[in-house]
Amino acid sequence: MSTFTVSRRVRRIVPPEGVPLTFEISATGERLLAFLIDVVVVGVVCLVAALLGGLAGSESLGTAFAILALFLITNFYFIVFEIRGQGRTLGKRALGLRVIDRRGGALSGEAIFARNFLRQVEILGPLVVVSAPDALWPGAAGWLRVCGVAWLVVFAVMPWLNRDRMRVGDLVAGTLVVKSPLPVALAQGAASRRRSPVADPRYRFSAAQLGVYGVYELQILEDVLRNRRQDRKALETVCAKIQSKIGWDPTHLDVDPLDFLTDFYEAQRAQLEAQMLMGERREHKKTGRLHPRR
Amino acid sequence: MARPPIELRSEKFRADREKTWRELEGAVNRIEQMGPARLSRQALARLPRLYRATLSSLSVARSISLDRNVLDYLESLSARAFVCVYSNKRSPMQACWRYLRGGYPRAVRALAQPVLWSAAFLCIGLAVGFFVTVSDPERFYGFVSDDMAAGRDPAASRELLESTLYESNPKTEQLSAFSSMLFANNAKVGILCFALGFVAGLPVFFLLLYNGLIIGALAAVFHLRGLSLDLWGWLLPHGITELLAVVLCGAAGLSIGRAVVFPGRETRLESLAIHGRRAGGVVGGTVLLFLMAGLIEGFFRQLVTSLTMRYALAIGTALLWTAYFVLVDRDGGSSEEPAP
Repeated sequence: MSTFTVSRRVRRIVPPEGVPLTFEISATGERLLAFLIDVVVVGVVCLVAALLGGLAGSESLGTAFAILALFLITNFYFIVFEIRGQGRTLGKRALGLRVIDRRGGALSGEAIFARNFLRQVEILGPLVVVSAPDALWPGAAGWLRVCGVAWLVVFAVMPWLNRDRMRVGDLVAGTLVVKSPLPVALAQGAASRRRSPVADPRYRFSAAQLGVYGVYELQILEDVLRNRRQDRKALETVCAKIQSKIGWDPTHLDVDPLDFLTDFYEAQRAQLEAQMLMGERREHKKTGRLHPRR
Repeated sequence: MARPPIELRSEKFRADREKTWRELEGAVNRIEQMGPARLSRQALARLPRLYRATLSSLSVARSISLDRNVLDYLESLSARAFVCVYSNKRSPMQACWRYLRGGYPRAVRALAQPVLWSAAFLCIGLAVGFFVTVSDPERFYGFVSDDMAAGRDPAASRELLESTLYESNPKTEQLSAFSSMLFANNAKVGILCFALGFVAGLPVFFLLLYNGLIIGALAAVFHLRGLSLDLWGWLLPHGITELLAVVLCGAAGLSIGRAVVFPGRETRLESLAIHGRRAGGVVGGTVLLFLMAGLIEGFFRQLVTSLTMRYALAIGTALLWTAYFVLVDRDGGSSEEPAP
């Protein structure tokens, strides 16, 4: 139902047109999963390349091919796919993630190169530390080794150290991994009605009554009108609640809930929008309730 | 008594603009499903205009409309269109070719200062390694591991040293494996050199200095046996390209180190983003230099033993790179991406 109570990790990007756009930062877990998918793809392709190398006519040509292919695949898979797929490798595509320019411009090839070359240190470093710590600094002093390991750990945990979950490659390239924006359908206006706005003095509201609620409540009501239109019970509950809150004239209690809510929504929105134009935007309702108008 | 109909300005606004939004939505849907290549030329040409109009609608809607659905719709549509409009519409090969034709030499020229630092450190290492080893050959063992020296140490005879320079390998097939291995290893070191620059550039200085030391020490060993000319003839044909590539990667690393330590007017993050991507592009281009160096080292050096030819190639590559990095796209930025 309503999603606006869920807090999301968002970032506003300002494109050259100057109107900030909202993107949702991707969660670290998703990125890890996307990365694992890519690693599997790279692994499979490397295996195929190695086999192809084995099939080549002579041994040394095969070796040459295999070495070259492994180097190119491991270093350029991410780069080529991010350039081709507008910031999406296969793994990112599968999880609905994409790389964008943090500064709002086009995602340049250079940025993609930069963010992916950093993987050398981010991934290989910790791997070497875990698998063969002696290979890193042969004969280095103990304290130097500790410093080195600590430094690599900082690289690895960087995404958790900043708000936007940027890894070192993103920091260097000025990029951001976000969720690909999902389409939202444009619905009918919430105030669309079954009847034309007829003369009916029962559905009129005073400025004080319309001043009770804020934007938040208005949008809850919009949600109700849009998605729970058929739910008679819900409409009646909401209707009763609003009536009691704004001090609705009890002699007019026989109104149709849908008509009442539609009219109230429209009048409320007109008033709040007019206030917003004058620079007063009220987010929330006032506390307490109005006294019934006699 | 007739109720005055309520006129919602935001609804009128929506009715006026909805057609544009829908058209953009259709185009974006098609691009998302089939890629920009499948859109007709006219539709593609209209895209930026529709995008800007929708973006301005979003801006207006934020200030006049309280219709959540319209706001969400415009937010999502604008973000999706932004991604489509500001995205690379070229194939990776085209993009690389374009970069090599202008962006790369320009970026390298912009790195002139770090390139000088990087070259200076390599040269200092080289000089120190050379003079220290010449004055006391025993010091050689201090910088160069036995693996790397492979018998080319101060104790080796002149004949042995000479044979390492002119041993010709008749099996061309093995050379391809050898040269691809050289390329892959060197390029990895180059990329590492760049990546390490993130930490204030300190590891880069160390790497450059250390590489210089090794070369200097080896040069001293050959010098002591009167083989200097032959050694440089062996080293320079690929060395010019390879050392240039190392210097460029080092410079790329140093430039991001500098961006972190001395961000200037920008914030650290901002400065890192500006310099980091330029440096990343430089390293990407430099991979090609490593490839060439690997080919020269793997094939040419093993097949050609004439000293004149070796020096000729060395000078040739030096001229080629100088011309490329100094002269290409001098007017700078004329071929920049046009705004969408």
